[in-house]
Amino acid sequence: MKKDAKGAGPQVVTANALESGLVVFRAPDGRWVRAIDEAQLVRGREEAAVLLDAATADAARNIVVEPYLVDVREEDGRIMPVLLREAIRAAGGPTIVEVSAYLHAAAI
Amino acid sequence: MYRYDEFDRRFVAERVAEFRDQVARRLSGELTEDEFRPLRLMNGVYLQLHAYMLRIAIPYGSLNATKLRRLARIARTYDRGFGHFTTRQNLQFNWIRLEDVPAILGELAEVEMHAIQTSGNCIRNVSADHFSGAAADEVADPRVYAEILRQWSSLHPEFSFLPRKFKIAVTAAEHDRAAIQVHDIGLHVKRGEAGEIGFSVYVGGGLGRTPMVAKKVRDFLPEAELLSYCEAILRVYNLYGRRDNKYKARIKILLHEAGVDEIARQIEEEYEQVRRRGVLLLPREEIDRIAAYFAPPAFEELPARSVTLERAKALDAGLAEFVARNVTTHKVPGYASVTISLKAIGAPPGDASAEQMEAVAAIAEAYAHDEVRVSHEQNLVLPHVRLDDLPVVYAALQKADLATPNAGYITDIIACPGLDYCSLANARSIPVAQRIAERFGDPARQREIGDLKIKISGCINACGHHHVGHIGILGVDRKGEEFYQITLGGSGDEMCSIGEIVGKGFSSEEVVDAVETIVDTYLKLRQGPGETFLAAFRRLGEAPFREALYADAG
Repeated sequence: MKKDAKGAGPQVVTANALESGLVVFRAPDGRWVRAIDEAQLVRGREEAAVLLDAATADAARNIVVEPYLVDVREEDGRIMPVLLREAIRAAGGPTIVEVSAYLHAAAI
Repeated sequence: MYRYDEFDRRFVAERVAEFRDQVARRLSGELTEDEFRPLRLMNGVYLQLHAYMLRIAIPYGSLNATKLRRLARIARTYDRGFGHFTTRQNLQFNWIRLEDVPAILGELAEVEMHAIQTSGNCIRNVSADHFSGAAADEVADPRVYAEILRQWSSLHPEFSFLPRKFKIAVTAAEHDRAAIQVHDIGLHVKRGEAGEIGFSVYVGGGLGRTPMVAKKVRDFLPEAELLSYCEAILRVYNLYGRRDNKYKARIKILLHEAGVDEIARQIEEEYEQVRRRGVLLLPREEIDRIAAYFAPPAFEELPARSVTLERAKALDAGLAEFVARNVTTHKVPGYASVTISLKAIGAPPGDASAEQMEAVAAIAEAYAHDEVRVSHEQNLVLPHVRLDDLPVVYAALQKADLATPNAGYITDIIACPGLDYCSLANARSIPVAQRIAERFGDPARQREIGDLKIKISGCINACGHHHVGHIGILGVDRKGEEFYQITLGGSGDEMCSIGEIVGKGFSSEEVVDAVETIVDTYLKLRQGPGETFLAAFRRLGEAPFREALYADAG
């Protein structure tokens, strides 16, 4: 279940793209991108509020749906969400391992 | 198979056109998300963790080759090549683009399918025994009544905005395969002393955060009064069900708070008024008309024992094992029902690729009178297969990686999509199911353990039915970490029971070991292979299992 970001550390803004529903992050130039590493990183309540306002304006312009702030940490130059839920979203797909049944079935 | 009449066809077509317009207005910005959300939900479209999800209604899990091929085509064209069969006998696609939904709904309408009432506070897809029409132990075909309920509840003007969602299940056998006692209304089709059809009516069952076993409010409701009585139940619920708190809005809470006697009295009072008007007595000819939709296929007169099958089994141990586990006795000699497990070891429970759907469609057409069912246990069923044809059906299933002989075994796990897909989940379900299946995947070990149902939910909403798992696993979020609470002794059949929490939860790393400890304890303490896990648990209670699980913790 979605949890509000605590905002103690760095944050990014995420949402779902209106047309595809895919997970997206707001980049510094205002584009919405699939890769969290390209997201605009903000620190502190004021910066976060400005970023979220911009994202909310994008939602009002029907570019994205339901934007919200996500707590992240930086590791080896990469941006990593703190919560597992957000890490799974940022990964762009389930954590389920490749299934041989699918691979086999595709060859039928 | 159900058939669309002119009314069905028209309203589905109208709904597709209406939703096409609504999607266009949303994409153009004319509708906000707040305005659009209830509209998309009415058409089965959720916004999930990664993308839009489309839930498609499969009435009482009934499919044929045409429908299955269409689902495969949609999976391939609009999704990522697979679909997920659910515990409501429905199908979900996880990677749908919003702009594609009207086209998909149009494609579904062409094969008499839709996504209406797969969400929202209305009467959801009516579910039924997946062996309906084939089961040796049924007294009638429950699909007839499920279909009558489907027609009655579709876009019912009075019951489209209930306090909360409402689920109905129907069985016609003493052995309940449809889990009717954990539904808002559970109907058990019976025969009276003169052979007449009637229903035992159960109300107020459900899982979720407040699991409850339904209470019987009528022992024998006459067949013709099915809809008038259901209308009375829904009326009482619609009037008195709580709308101030969605966690207390299901009819089970109403029943719990007011007491079964009081609710039963109110239902009977309302029913008397409905009955006096006589408007909803089912006419005999109408029941017969619907029953004709489900007329049995032209079964051949065959010997009860198939020499072809016995010879093939003697030569192929794999076939023998498959028949022993995945083949169920049919009411007609020389036939059987086949369970197609969607639980290949290590695969996500309930998932099927487009190619697998097409393979099943081809098999159903050639060998199973063009009938396929979805079970609430997230498997597929071929209800009518000649015993003589089982070897060739098995071979075809093997080719499609669909011949796993584990129906009802410990690896035949129900699991909700969990945190891998669902925006409500707190923890992952599918990877836990995969790891348990891999741990217990050895066929000999599964045989030794015997019947054992594991059910996994990734949150308290209990879509994985964990409360009625012999071993239930509930994923919770504990300070950002996935933890899994284990319940024991649940059952969704006619001896329905809610599992008991055995103790503190286990981490993701620990949970598979914990399941193994429980299974090993059972094997050690059972009175022989004939005593199932559930029977042993009911005899022993939770103490020995708790002791085994937490002995080291002091």
